[in-house]
Amino acid sequence: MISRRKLLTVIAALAGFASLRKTVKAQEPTENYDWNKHYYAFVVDTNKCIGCGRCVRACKIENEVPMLPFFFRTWVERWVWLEGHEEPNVDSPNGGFDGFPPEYDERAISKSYFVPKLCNHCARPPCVQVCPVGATYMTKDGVILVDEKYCIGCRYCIQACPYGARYLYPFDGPRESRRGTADKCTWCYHRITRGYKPACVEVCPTQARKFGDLMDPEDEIRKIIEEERIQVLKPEMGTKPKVFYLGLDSEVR
Amino acid sequence: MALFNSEKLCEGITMRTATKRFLLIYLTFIVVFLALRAIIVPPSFGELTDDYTYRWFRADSVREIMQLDMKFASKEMCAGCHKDKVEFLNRGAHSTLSCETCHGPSIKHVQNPGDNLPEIDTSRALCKLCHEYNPTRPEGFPQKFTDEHGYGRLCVDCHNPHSPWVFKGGVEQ
Repeated sequence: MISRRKLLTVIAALAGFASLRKTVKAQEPTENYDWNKHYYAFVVDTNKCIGCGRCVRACKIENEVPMLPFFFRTWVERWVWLEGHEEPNVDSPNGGFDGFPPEYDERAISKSYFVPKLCNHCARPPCVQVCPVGATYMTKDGVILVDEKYCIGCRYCIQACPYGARYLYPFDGPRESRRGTADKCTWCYHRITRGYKPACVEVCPTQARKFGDLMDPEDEIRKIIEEERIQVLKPEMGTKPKVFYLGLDSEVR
Repeated sequence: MALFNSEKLCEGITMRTATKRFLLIYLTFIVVFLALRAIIVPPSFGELTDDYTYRWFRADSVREIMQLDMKFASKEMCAGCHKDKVEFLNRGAHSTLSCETCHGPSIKHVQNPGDNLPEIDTSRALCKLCHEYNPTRPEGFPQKFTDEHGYGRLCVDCHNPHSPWVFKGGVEQ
């Protein structure tokens, strides 16, 4: 049996140790980055997408997403409306990673288009609200991130996302610290905070993907959102997505 | 802590032993809770928080994510050394492409130009990704790739990949 004095000393020591730990701060990654001065948005021009899948490949390399089907931070869907059919045929072989093999008879198609998809980085994200441990959150510049150290892998956020943008990082994935946690598009947060474009935007050969800062009055994105006819996915969800689509069909969801 | 040396403190006051003991246990629980909380809750939790619905998080997590390594560079970085190549690219039909669209992730080449040369894929399969005929592709996009076109030779045998309408042999169209 420990004496009371000993117990109190131990408690005091623990409290002291904890307060010491508080003073340890992580090093600032980019000294000049102020997240109050940015607010990002993404524009996808479906009229320009050719379904080459370079974005899917680039994303997987840049963010260490497993190179297997079913794990995607971004993917491309092919929507095909066949003549006489009421419902569209939607497919995404390997997320569009290897391109889209011609599968349909051209004469039977009434309309068809590619729809690149990614996390919409909603201004009112349901995935953040449901996280029980505060592991997913919204940054001041409008990006939804996942804290891989505090995620417990409960999958609530994966269920909550109306866009299916999240997946559980597999236990045999290449990045050890991320195994068994929810993973999603970060708009390449490590790139954009250093002033570069996200990897998928960088490699897009037709500029179907555009990324920009709404707080920058000179930005191309701002002009598009102000002047063009834009659409978001599932507006009825009230999530206020920040990925805006040009030339989107009303059926796409 | 002086509070717990209760004998002297309570000399003047008459307090029943049961009450005293209860108070002590109660206070001990509070102290234990505070100490455990201080240890368990990560240091930077709530540091940058201003909105508990969407911004309750560990601030170090943001810094960790910002510090992740880049794998892809950017066209501007490539232009730093290969200015002529990028200018030539920007004049042709492939002006909207980034160098890394075809050459792959190249940040290692930027950091250490001697080693880690970016891949140069001259296969027909690479060109096919964009230029194969596919009815889903937007109208007007050049989709000339067929097995007959070029009779199985490499695309780059005739076309300059950096500007496809410049042909090998000096013919321009």
